[in-house]
Amino acid sequence: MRLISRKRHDPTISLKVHVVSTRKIDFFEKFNCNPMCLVSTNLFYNRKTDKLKSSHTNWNQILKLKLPDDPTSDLLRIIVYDVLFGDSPASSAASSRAVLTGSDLGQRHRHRDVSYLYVGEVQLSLLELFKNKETPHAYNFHIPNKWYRLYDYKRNKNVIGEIQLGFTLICDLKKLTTYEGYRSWEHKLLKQIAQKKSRRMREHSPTSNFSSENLLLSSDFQNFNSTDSITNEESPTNLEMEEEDEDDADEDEDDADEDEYIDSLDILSKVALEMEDEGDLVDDDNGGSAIDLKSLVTALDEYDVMDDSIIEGDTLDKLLSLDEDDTVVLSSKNDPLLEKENTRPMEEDTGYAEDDESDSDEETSLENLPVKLRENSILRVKKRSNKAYRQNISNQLLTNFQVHKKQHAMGVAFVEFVCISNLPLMKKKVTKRGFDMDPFIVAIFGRRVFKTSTKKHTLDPYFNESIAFEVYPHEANYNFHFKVIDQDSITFNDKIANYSLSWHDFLQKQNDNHSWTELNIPLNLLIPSKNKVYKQPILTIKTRFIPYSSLKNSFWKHAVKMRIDKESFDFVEVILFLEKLGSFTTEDTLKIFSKCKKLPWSGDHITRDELIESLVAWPKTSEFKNIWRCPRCYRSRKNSNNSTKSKLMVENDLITHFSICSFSSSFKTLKASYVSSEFASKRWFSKVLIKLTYGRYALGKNNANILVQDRETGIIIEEKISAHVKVGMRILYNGKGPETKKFKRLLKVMSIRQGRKFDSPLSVKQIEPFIKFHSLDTSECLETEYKCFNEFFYRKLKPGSRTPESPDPRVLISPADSRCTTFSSIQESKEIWIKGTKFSIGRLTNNYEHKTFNEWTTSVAVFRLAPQDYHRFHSPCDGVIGEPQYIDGEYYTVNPMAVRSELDVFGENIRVIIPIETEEFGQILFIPVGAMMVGSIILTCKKGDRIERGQELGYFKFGGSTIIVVLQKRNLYFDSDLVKNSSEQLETLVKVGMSIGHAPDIPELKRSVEKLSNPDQIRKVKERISITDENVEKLNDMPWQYRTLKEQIYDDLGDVDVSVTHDDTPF
Amino acid sequence: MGLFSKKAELNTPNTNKDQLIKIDQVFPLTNRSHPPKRLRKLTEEQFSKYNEVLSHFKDESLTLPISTDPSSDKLPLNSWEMFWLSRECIYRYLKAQKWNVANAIKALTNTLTWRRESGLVKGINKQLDPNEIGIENETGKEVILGYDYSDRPVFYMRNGRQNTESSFRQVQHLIFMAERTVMLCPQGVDSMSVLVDFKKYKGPGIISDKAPPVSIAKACLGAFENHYPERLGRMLFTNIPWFIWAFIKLMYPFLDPDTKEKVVFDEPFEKYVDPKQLDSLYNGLVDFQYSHKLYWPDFVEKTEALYQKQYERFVKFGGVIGLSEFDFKGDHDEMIYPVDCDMTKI
Repeated sequence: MRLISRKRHDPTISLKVHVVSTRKIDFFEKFNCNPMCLVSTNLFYNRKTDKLKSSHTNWNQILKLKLPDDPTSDLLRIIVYDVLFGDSPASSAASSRAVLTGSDLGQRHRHRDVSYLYVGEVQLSLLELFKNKETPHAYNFHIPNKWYRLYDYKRNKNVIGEIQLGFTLICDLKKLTTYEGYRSWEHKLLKQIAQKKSRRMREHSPTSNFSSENLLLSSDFQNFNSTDSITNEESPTNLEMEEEDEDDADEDEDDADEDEYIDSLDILSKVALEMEDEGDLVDDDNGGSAIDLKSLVTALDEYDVMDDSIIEGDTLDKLLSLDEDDTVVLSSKNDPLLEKENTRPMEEDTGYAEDDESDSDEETSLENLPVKLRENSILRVKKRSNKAYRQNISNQLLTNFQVHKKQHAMGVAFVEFVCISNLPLMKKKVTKRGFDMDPFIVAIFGRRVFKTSTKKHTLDPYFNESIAFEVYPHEANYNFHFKVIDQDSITFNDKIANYSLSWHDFLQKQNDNHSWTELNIPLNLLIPSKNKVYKQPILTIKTRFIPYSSLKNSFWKHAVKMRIDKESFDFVEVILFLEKLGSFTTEDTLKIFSKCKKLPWSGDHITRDELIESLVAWPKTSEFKNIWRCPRCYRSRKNSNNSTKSKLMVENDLITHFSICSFSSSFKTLKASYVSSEFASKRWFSKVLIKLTYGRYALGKNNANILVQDRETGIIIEEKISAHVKVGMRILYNGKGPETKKFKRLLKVMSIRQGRKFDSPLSVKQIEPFIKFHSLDTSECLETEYKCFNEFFYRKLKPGSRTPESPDPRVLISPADSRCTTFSSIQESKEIWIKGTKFSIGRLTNNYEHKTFNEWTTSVAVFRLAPQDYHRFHSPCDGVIGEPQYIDGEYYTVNPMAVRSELDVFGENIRVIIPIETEEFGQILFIPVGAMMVGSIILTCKKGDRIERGQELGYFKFGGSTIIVVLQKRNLYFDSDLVKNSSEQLETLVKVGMSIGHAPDIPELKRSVEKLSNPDQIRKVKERISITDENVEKLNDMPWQYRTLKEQIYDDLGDVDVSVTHDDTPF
Repeated sequence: MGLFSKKAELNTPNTNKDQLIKIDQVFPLTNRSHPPKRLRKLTEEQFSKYNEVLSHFKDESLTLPISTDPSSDKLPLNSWEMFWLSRECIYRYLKAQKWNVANAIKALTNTLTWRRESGLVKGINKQLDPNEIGIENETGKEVILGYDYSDRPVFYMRNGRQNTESSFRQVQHLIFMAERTVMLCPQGVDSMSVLVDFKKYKGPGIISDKAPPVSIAKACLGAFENHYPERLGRMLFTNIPWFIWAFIKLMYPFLDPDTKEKVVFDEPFEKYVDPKQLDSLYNGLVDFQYSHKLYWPDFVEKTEALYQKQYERFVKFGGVIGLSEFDFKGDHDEMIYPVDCDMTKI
């Protein structure tokens, strides 16, 4: 795990400071001192030397100081302190010393019995330090020991002595030269400073007059020795420091601006702890008193606040200009290797793509648009750091529970898996002898995936395991899926049976008093019945759904019982009880009494039930400040590893948590610990393999695990990719330079050739395996005989199988069966999804009416088609077609991994731009984009055609491809579930006709599954029915609608031969 | 902590043992240092406002609910309430409400109903029972003893002598004590001096030396503020723990100037209270050892008698709303401030 997570870190550079000794300090010569030297930069990055026990200040120590990933200042301070021990006789000397140094300003920070007396310091600029004096743009990363003047900044800014220091800069990443590391660090710093400057300028606050004074500082150094222009120091191995505990905490600290010192003080103590952990240079042999950073920092902060003003003035401009000069110098030097290396590390760290790209952005296109880009990046950095800071602050709040939130779950569902009976006998796979079955159940509801334990060697397993989960209003259309799987130790696990129970049915089976109901579910067998008649396997579960309101009651009942065991409460007892719960006023208490018609001042009592009742009905939640932990488990809310991976909403509502928590204490409860059902049914070694080869198995991650959410069921589906696509992807991402060009050519040739191949009649053979591989449902296809593979590929569906969800023309419908992401602006889409460096709306639309379709006012919806999908695309709205514009280009793959790499797949791929004039949404650009293996895009409409919603516009030949719909932001609101998923970098599986968005003047289409009740509708459905019961058995994977419909028809019409199309659109 | 630390202890010499006056009961003010203060003159405007309030309550048809629940039974004012609704009482409410008539009437009505509910009005609801409440005072955590230089009765609150768990009876006890302190106010005085001692005591029966929970303190303060306006003459604090001290120091600049004047922190009490009236614990001359058996019955009896006597005088002078407390509390036979006396002229 560490191996992978470590990759994400930026190249870090460390500064080694060799602190040798001081001289000419009167102070040390006259008194017996315990000098100590502290090297500090950016507030949190500190190292200190040993405390010496005599005034001979000969430390001769090398301090290794890691430079922060996102530096805020370039100031390096080397501060000399005198350590005073409170009880030692030296204290008297110390006080006299304080007198001697002339003032009460002598900062003594007491902590326990150790305090630090500030002696003096050297301030250096890290930007200036390594610059070579003679040759202006050369760097010298090893500065031999020199004498620096020690200033006393606290008192009179006089020189008080000298200190001998040496500096070395090293880069911790082996493959990076120090120069590159330093350059990228410097870059970040300059950006930070520029940002700060722009903020200051906005505030119009006059800069302090320190700037001019301290400006001289950097030039105050004694001359450096001139050595070679660039010395690439390889990091020596003798000073090994573990850098891996540089985790979130540290990163957060860096984000905290100087302005928020008070807040960061808390964190400081943490830093102190961490430093102790690292333990290399922290010295605590003297009486065991740990490093007292807190006291040191009080001495530090005022100076760190100052440093932005130091660099602020002219220097910044100078530095910025210098920076640009540098690049020019570099390129003029004709050192292509260096230049290439410079950008390389950024490309490699895909995990940290955001950060790096902004850098490489600038680096690569500095010549073209230096000014604009710079501004852009400044804006972006600012936004991010603010966000990070806010997160930092709210993090702690988030981990606290809230008592009933406003937007809460519908309730909590409990399911107990009791047993399965009559599982089929199956031969052992390997030995083909004997019968065996080790079944387990995978249960899926929306994004939650549960897996029971495996029961060994049984056909009638008893599980007695339970699950409990919150159900949200938007999940009311989802189905509850059960899969019974046989675990095999060597071969793949076998799917035995499955069933899906709609939430609606689940609820209907509940009885009124919310107690357990037992359900016997007949499972659908998935194993082929070879002349054998299996008994119907039956899954027995107990279900229970408790709505939120009654949960609330039981929660308060419990909470009151936990705290007080009285039956009635007088005025003061209520006050005292409420005080425990949070901050209430006396008026609140009086209100409770008046509600119960009791008189507080005459000593009336209210009963416990009345108290509970009034707490349940309490209108606001802000008062319950003291309840943030579960009264049963005493834990605050914490995201589990899985919930972050599968982006499961962790409810911080205490009431639902409490019910689940108390349930799990009395039942064996399973946790939703899998991202997808496929993953749950895999063995551990395949999981390891996936992790190693594909990357982290989590939602919204940019790797080869393509996970999408099905809009109908809410289930996370793992997408299947054929091997050649995977290989293609790999080559694309890793290929650099000439290979990529070759590969591009290859891809084009291959795509065309493949297209030709699939056109030949021989390709018919491939249809069957393709259907199997993707487990396609052929029942909705119009034809059953195909002349060639391509014909199957752009198969037509039966009319009526894809109808628009809503007859309202103001609802924009999905143009294709696809994975959809929607963004309200191009900017947003670039931040979240389309990461191609050069991607822009202009490139995508070939500058089609660039005034209307610009970066800021344009919404974009991306519909990605996978090979298995129905490949015809339909019109999303009514309108008139304009002149289609064909654009030739590449054949990059469009799967999420490619879209989120720096390749501009949408801007370079072959595509057709079809403008559609509509009444409801203004002008829409409908852009089918060809992709890997897509030979061609064929339109079935032409200019001037009047089209209706859902009318076919054209089709793709073989391969995955994409449709992009671009339109004016103000004309359309996307559906909220799509927007939410898109912001989580998760694609949503949609079908033709589903609502995508709506015009601003109507509300969002409420998607619901209707129960058919009137015979007319049933007849309508019957008209569409075309497959027989046997077909249904073969298909196995029928939706619940089929069964419910069948039951209903049985009930209503008696025994009729009924079957349904496999159609997921609501009737 | 230099900022928040107290001034060095003022070490005044302990008073001589044989000068001490042995006292174990509440004592009335015997020899007054100055004659009782007459009522102040009112401006025309104030007087008309006063009359407005007075006429509101004089209305025969006025009925008030017997509890804070507005839907409960309503009763007209009885004579004890009329006795309470004295001229000074209306002044106090008007002053507390910055001479806003509507607010003053509202506040007075609130207090009247609250008094009915709390059992402070004879004849309506159940009365506060001194015998029940007496348990709270077994360690003498609240004591009324002596008078300060302005003839205000001194109310000692020593929360370091807490003997019971927080309960409603504690609140009732406090109300009861406040009510009785008010009764003990001599002629021409209508406020009290509260002395709060944070010292931690040890002794039999004392179960806690901590201040009461904040929420209860808040509730009590709220009740005090609403139902005993302008009753606080001076508040003296002593033995303040450092955290309260820090809090006070921080809050001090924001205090209302009137309040600032009233509040005294850690100053020698002799400055405000005659040593002859002051407990020897605070460098006074009164050697007061609290004995519940001696103090409590006597205290209840004396205050009750005083109350009865004042009520009799109230009846004697006509038994109507708007009579002056100055008249009840004195010994003179002639009414000085009759109901219709023109306060702008005296």
